[in-house]
Amino acid sequence: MVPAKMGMVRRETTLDFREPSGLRILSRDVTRRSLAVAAALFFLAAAGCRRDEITHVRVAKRAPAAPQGSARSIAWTLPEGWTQSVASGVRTASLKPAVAGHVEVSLTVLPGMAGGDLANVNRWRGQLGLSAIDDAAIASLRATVQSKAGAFAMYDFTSEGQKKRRMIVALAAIEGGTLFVKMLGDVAPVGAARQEFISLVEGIHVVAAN
Amino acid sequence: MSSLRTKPFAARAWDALASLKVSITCLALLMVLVVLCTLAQVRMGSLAAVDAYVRSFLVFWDVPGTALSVPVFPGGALVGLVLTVNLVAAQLKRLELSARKAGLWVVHAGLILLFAGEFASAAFQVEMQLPIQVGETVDHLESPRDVELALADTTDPGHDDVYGVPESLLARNRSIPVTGTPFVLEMLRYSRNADLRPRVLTDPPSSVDMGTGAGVTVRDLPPVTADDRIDQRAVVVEVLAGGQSRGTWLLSNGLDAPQSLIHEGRTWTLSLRARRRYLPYSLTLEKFSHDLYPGTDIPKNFSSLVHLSNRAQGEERDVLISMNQPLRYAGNAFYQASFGDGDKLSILQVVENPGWLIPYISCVLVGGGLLLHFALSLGRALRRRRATVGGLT
Repeated sequence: MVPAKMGMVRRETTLDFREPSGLRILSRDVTRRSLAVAAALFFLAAAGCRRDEITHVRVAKRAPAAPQGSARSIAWTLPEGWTQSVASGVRTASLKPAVAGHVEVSLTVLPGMAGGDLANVNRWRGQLGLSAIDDAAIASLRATVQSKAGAFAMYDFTSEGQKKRRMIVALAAIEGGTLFVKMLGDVAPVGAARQEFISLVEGIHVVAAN
Repeated sequence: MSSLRTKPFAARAWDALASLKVSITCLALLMVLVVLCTLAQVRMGSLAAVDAYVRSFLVFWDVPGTALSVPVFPGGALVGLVLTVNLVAAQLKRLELSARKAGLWVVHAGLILLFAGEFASAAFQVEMQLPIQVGETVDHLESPRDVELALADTTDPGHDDVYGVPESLLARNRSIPVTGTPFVLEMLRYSRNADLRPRVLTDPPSSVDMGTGAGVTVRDLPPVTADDRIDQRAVVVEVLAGGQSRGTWLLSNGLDAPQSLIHEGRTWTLSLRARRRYLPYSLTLEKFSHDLYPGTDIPKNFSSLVHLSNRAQGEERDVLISMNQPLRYAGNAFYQASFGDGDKLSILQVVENPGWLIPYISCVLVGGGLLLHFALSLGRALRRRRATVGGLT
């Protein structure tokens, strides 16, 4: 340690209120503490400053972007005489066969497996008042319809009782989702439209998006 | 020296804040948090575990059988904040402001900057994706995990007015007025993760009476924990205009096509989609390259040749984005992250982090500070040695 020269006073930069210059040291120390507190407050504020708000932006129209991983959509050919309430290319459509009586056809696309074959078959059977079945029985009820978009599993159920209802459903995994084509109505008109229903399913194909 | 008994409270608190015991306690807590977070990843997935243990101020525990959630441990953000303030306080209190300690000042400044940078990143960093097909032009980024309810006026042939309602508002608010539109959204149901199935008559009654969702049943599922999957959100919302109901709609990021309604001659679309951030410029994917090592299936290189178009700046140029060569433009960094659809889809990861340079600067400061301290110490040692040798001779 170098000894102080005559007349020179060494001061340590530590807090000591008894020093004659304690006020100066106190002031410097308070400044240091204030800096530390300010730093802490800044970090706290920075961590909490982001808020979620409703955004608004005006976007120039472009050609519709394709869904991630796919540039295609599902299309089909309407059997002659059938009508459609939603234009082809949209994910969900309602069709009306050209037969007399109560019958309607719906096309629905849901993401993923949408519950799987067995769960859906038992739900449809339950809707018609039929008992649930197991994996072993479902195989015997399944028919296969080949289309340009892949193979559809088709099931045909008829309810019991005085007023019978009939349901024919075809489902297939397409483009990462499950397409359901379901015809439901009274027994006679569903039977009359069955062959055209199968033609509809066979004609389902995948097209490139615009 | 003042005795502790005569020291004011502020002085004692300052001593405690700058003490080495606080430093060691914080480091021990960080080690415990790392272990807890690692174990929690199995149950929650890595992103949720990091959010719960590392990026939060407190770690909460859900009391079984109740809706209570109580804090049980300090989170990484709180421990990091205390450690940062401790480092600052210790440096200001103990280090002499002299040239001989300059190296240590620089090292401590580098460490403090590193902590500050992590706080800045946590607060301001945004990571999004840009999936783009070959030949496609895209002018927006998408969040890989967050969704928004998008309400768009598509009447005008030249542009759309898009209003995005963030998921945080959908989850906690009952009534959401969308300023700038005639609509108020009444949230009837929010599902963080849901299974969507075709509706049958035996399903419970649904309030959805408009659009695609009228034929769909929603069943709640636990949130996903795998990092490569995302939750399938579903919301049931009643749209009000002028106090009149415009129907109750089911929206989900699992239903791709927007649903539309017409109000006072204007066409509006509703959808729940990945949260978007629109850019003042666009990128067109000209070509995606996926090279393999000859004779193997081992990937060698992925790259995307994109055309950058910024009409406001009059900028039109081609840029090659590869795994180690991101595009840095307008505060964003575009990295080649993934691909798909038979090499026709490129997925760029886009990071906006205003503090991205801070870790590099802090490393330079710490390394430079250590070198400086070594040089100064070596110089003093050599001078002492010369003085000793000179005294002996």
